[in-house]
Amino acid sequence: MAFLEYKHVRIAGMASGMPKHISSNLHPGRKEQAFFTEYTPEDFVETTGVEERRTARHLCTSDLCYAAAEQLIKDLKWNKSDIDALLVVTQTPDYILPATACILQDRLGLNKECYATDMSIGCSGWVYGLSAIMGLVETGHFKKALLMVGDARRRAAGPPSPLFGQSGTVTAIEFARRTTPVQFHFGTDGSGFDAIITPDGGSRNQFSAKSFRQEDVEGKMLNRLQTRMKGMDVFSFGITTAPKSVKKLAEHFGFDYLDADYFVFHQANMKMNDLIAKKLKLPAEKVPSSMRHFGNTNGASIPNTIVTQLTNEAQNKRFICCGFGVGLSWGTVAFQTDNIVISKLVEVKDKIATDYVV
Amino acid sequence: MCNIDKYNNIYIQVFGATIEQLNEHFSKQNVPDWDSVHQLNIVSLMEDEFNIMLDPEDIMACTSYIAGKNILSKYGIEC
Repeated sequence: MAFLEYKHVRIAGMASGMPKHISSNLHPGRKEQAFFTEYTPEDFVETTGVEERRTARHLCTSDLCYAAAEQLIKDLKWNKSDIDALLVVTQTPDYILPATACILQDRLGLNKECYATDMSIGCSGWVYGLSAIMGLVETGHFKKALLMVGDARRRAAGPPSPLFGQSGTVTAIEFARRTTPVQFHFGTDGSGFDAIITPDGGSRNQFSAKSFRQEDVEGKMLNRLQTRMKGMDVFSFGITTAPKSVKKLAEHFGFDYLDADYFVFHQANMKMNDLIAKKLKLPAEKVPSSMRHFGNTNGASIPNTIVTQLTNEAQNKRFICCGFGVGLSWGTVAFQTDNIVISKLVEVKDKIATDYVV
Repeated sequence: MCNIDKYNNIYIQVFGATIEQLNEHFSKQNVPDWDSVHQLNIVSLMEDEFNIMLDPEDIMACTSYIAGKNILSKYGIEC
């Protein structure tokens, strides 16, 4: 049974960095038109709930996480030299090597006596990352830590998907002697490893000229460096697994999940989230959504939703958050906010961070 | 409204189908618009109309007009 509970750690703050540029799905650009062969832009927006999202040509995951972190550290009035650990969760690292966390340690000017590493996981990433970094801080050896979750540029050129937005988030974690417990439930079903997959570029199928050949994937032409999805497998998985995980967490730790103030789910698409909320019998006002303006921002969609939709309403509230997706992987966390600092959305100009280009 | 009318209305609503089109040939293979999003809409409307919660394998298996009827039958709903 994959349950975890921490009693000496709290979320001190959250921030989100996104490109300044807004891409509209109702008025798609020339390159984006390629995605609107199956649906009209209006039908796409109605079906997915994604009206617009933030995109950039040059920004990488670290650029967006960096901007968010600088703002949050300032708002928290933290001293950078007190930050002991940095964990980055991303599917789109700046480089295959080194870890993006190492680049961010230097760019943020953090102490060299700093634990820094990356974790590769998708839409359950914020929950998994939170559990990992909270586990480090729970020991009391690390007092302050940063969890960064984000995704920006794709691994290969191609028409941008109108479903996905770019972002970089930071969640500040702090050791606390007395606090309300943070409780987790996790699950994995690797039999669905190919339900969402980027086939080439890893060791199994090494990158080659063939990686760029277009192939028909459920009616869409994609190359093998582009992520493909078995839509029905993923929908079915999401709408059944997320409610079960929330219920299991509540049952295991002995609380009524309906007592929570907010339920923040991974922002996959509007239809899925409506079904999940319906299965849990949740009132709409307890289920915030950021999809309309920011799209599916992968593992960062939970913190993005809190930052953009609950900026002034997240204080002293009980949250249940559930991430689910590629793997297949899922995770649910319940926590209470207490003096949390939520920074205003940081909008980042589209320019290359030349110091970190090779 | 009887069950068959409720059931047919789901396909009329999702695909704009006519009653005449709703037969054993109305399936994922033969209906070009039948993608995962439309299937999710069918499943969602079935759950709403008949007040049921479908299991994941039933959601996956709902790939034709006839399959949908058979799934409802499993939940004690005859159309």
